[in-house]
Amino acid sequence: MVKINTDLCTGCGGCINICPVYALVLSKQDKAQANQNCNDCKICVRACPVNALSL
Amino acid sequence: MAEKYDVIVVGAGFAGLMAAKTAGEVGLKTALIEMKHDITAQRRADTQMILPMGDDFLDDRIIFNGKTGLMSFAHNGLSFKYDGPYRDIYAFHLYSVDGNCLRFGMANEQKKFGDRGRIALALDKSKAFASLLNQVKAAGVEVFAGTAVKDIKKTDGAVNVIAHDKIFSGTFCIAADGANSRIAQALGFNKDRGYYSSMNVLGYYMKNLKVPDPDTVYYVIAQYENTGVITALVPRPYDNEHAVVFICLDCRVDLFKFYEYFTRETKLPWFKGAEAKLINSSCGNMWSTIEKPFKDNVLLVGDTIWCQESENFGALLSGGKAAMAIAYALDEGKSNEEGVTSYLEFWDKHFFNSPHYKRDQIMGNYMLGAILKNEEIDYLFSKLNMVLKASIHPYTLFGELGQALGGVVPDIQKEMPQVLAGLGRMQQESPADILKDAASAGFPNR
Repeated sequence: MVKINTDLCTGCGGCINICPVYALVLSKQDKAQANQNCNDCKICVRACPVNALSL
Repeated sequence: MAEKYDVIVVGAGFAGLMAAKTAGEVGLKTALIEMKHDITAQRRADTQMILPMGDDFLDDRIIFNGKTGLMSFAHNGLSFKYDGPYRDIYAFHLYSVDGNCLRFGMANEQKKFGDRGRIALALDKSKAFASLLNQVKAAGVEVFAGTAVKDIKKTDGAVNVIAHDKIFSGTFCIAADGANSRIAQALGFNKDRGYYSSMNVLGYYMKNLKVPDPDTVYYVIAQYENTGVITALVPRPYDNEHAVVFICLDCRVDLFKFYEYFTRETKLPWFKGAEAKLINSSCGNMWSTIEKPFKDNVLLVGDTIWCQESENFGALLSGGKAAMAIAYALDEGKSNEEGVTSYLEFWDKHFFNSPHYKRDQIMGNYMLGAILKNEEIDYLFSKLNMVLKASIHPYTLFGELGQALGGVVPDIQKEMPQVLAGLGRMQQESPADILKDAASAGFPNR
């Protein structure tokens, strides 16, 4: 599952609507948060402008 | 049985907030859904903390009452109150990294005309969101923050908006969920829509930038790693403070590295001693404009329908107009496309088929950096060193530029013909062709 560095995440939400399997939402702190749907496709990793996501 | 709303608004940016406020105020049972928990935070980086003033756009203009903060659309009668500081913007200048510039107005000249000389207002966008949210709540709208939407399905007599943990049922839906809209995707709009590329954006707040004028918006057009990067310096309504936004249409470009390169290599002496703080970012898909922003009782507004061309102004106006069209449809007992004709006609007449609107024009800034090398951009701007009409208006900005360019073509032909060849490519080739390589690395949510 994709890992999220919440110190780097700006909460822009860009990854959320491009995730092909609806695996991302924003946490209560408005940081990206992944769920079990994640299939490690890396689209969000490539998309993140601040390199906050990794596998 | 879930309660049914007259209208469900998805997305709480400018378009969605204005839609929800307008719908609530005219008495519609309205739900506003937003993926962020804190709706007032501006977490998506963009250059648009400004509203163009003193000129028509989408057949309307904003009249601003500086004493009360009331922003009124003069032709459509829609309004909202902005409770926050603002700064008058008087000019818009485009720079090359080497320091030559193309000037739309000079602030000191424009200031002589008082309020009528300003071309835009710079707002605090978070405070604008907060102001609008207060008005949305006061209008009785039910607000669902922290709710990400996945899908939308039409059944007999209802549209169902499916979020991660809840389903909302409504007669109409307004999709205001932006450039990467899930609703546009779910309704199939992205399948045969032109896709340009996925953009990459970093947004900083900087203090003590040494720019020539505090009330001018500056864009720097650069070529970097064979693609265009725009650096926008937009004054904030606070002393010595700018939003500095780095934008690239190729998502492979590391903008942190560009930032280092740019602040080190540019001949512009603006960044020495400035304090910078990363505030926000974004990755948004650049899609071509949707011809008809309606399907299955869903009206699309703001960045969901176009390629960011209509800016905050169009987001606010389209949101308000869509809500009013739905109010009319329900009053008329026509919960269908015919009921919301006023919105579709507004969109078609004043945007999509407006003689002012040139498709893909917004891409021009990016194409310049993608096609011309930095020394060519610098040369081009050096030839265009006259002061053009003060404007930051998306329709009229480039009109005078074409004329000015016409006057220097013979010189350019003699001195640097490759610049003319590059400009010719911008005219002849579609942005999709020019950006083909960048697009291949993108992530369109079809």
